[in-house]
Amino acid sequence: MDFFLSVSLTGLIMGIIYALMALGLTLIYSILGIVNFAHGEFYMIGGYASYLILSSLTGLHPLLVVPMAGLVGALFGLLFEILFLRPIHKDRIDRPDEYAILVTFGLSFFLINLTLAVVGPYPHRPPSFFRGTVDLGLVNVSADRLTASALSLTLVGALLLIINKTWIGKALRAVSQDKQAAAVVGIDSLSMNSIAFAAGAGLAAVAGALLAPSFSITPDVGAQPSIRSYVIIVLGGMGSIKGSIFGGIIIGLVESLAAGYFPDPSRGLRYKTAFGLVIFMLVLLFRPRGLFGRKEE
Amino acid sequence: MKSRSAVNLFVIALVLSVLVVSCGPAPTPEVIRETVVVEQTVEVEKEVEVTKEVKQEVVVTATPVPVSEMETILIGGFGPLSAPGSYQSGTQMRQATEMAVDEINEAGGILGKEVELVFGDTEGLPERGTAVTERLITQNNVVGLTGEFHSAVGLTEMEVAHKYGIPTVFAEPWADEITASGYPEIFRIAPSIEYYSSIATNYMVEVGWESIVFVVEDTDYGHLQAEGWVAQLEEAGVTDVEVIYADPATEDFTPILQRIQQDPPDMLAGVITGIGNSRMVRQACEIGLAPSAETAYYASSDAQYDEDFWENVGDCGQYVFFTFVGLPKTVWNEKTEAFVTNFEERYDHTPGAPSMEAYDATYLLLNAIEDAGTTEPEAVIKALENIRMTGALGELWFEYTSDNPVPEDEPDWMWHQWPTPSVYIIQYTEVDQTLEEAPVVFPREVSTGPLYTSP
Repeated sequence: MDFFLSVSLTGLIMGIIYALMALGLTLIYSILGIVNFAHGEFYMIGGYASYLILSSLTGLHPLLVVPMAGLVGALFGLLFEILFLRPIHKDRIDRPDEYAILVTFGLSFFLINLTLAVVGPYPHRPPSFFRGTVDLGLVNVSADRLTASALSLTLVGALLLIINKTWIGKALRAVSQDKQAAAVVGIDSLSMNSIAFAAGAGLAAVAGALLAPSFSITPDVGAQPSIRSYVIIVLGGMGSIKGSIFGGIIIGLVESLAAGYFPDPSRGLRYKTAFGLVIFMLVLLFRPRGLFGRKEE
Repeated sequence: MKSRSAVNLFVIALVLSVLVVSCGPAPTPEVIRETVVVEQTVEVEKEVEVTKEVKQEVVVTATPVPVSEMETILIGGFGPLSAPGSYQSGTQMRQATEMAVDEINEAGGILGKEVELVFGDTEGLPERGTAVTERLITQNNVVGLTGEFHSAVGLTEMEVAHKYGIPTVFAEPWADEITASGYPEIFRIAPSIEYYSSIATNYMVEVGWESIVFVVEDTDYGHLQAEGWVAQLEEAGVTDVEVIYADPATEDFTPILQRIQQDPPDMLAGVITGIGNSRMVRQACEIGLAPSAETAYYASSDAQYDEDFWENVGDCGQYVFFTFVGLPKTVWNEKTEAFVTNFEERYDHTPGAPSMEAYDATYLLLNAIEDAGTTEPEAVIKALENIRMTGALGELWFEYTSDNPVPEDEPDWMWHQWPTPSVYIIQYTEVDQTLEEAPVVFPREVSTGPLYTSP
């Protein structure tokens, strides 16, 4: 029982961080209607921003750098949205769906290779938020990972508040539900697109900065979180914030329990990702719109 | 909602491909060999049907250009410079190869010509290795090849080099089959996997560990080592050995480490290249599994990059040990000293074993061309067979050649193989210890510290 609880706790801690990462992708999809295939690279930007800022400004507490890293990611995202995605919403692109896929894939390759050329291929790790481990009774968890999870939970809560209680949140939801109706009441959908993309990229960058002390960073570090985020948003329901949160936690738990309990221990870790994907496929088969997805109209 | 359908389709395709890759066997290198099956009926007293299998190898010779007509002497390098390959090691190999070429050019070049290097990125993928080698030989017209890190890629490159008869000095792939192929064009200065594994196995046996868990990456690198260790340990009477496979890009090893912690072994090995190496060291340490008084920790050779290692693992790296291919500082020669100093000055990074091997492999190839007095492949191969050179790795030569075939009591992979590659076990006994400061703990005849220092 202790082992079950300790593995579940590990999965839950990771699941909350996965949810934060997936939320950014959901935000972008629900407002702009595109999937950002460079989402993992914003995660990578966050990690590197944190590392580079802390390397150049010694004496700064690593926690203070997390919002800075998020800001760097958000600014990159904003710039990219204005330069490359805005033409879609101004009807200047003939095949917008294909264009969106290609341009975000292009951004992904560009950012990986740019980082490889500028920072180099070697792994880096920013300093810990807090050194050592925390004894949770069943399991020792690194203070860094616990901090990342607690901050992710706080951010997810804050985002829910913003989405549900503020004018910007309501405007974003309005654009997500009906762009024309939103325009009628004076909401500028182009500005909302920029805000959503910048916020989504910023959330991925924050996730990158939060996890960099635990997992280190390399130019291609965003690949796994990125694939996992796509799975989470489809599992939870495309565009559903609640779905992303639950989807993240489910994937975190399933991956952890599978590695801990798969009958053949030699393959448990290898198939860890595959188990999450099996759950995802089952949900798609029996509930194609995902756990919390809206019905197509 | 066209985009939603497209996304769903994409994600389903992604899932299926991940599942197929996860469940499938390790990639098998393609062997370019034509097999012609001839069925023949022979009339005897009784009618018997005989099936004969005739293997026919196709050898295509590249048309050599005379040296006098060459503007420069072009050599080809290959290795992983991007994911999914081990691009940290590949980058170092390219840098070391460039450094060797620049040094030779500064000293007047080869056969009165400047040497030019064309380096191909194989991405750690066997099919890319084939394409890159084809391109280097047929498009760039290189006169020799050097480099490579991954065995699975080296095995496919070897076939292309053999097809065109281009002399190739492999720097880092360990698969026994590389030189066991017996191909006249193929030479290697990296240790074979059998030899490499035996050093770590002998160490584990000498320390006396009886239960061992290997977490190895699910690639040729991990599989080859795990197979070698399991067989050799079993032979030595150590049977409580478990192997766990992992994707090298795994972020979180904690669940499997918690599982291992239920019954902690005497030794835990994390044989993962790149970023996975430091992740596993940290995570095993964070949950209190290893390195600990109960469980020793064996890391992958990436631990040799001391600056990166300490930056990424922090205090958790103390007491970790690993296999190092190359010369420890106590036995450096002048060439090693010069190589390390120049590499650090030029690239601002500690050189690892792959860079030393790539550097020496490039010198071997170019010195052989100089010795041969021509770029004619057969003459260069002959010169390589007769070469004796002091490199950064020590005295280099190839014991078994066309004039001195591999005897029956030696393994096949000794063909065109440098017979004495240096393989050591090194342990970091202090936090932030450099590779040069860390004691060599095995083999005992060259050790500079205790056999094993426990936390």
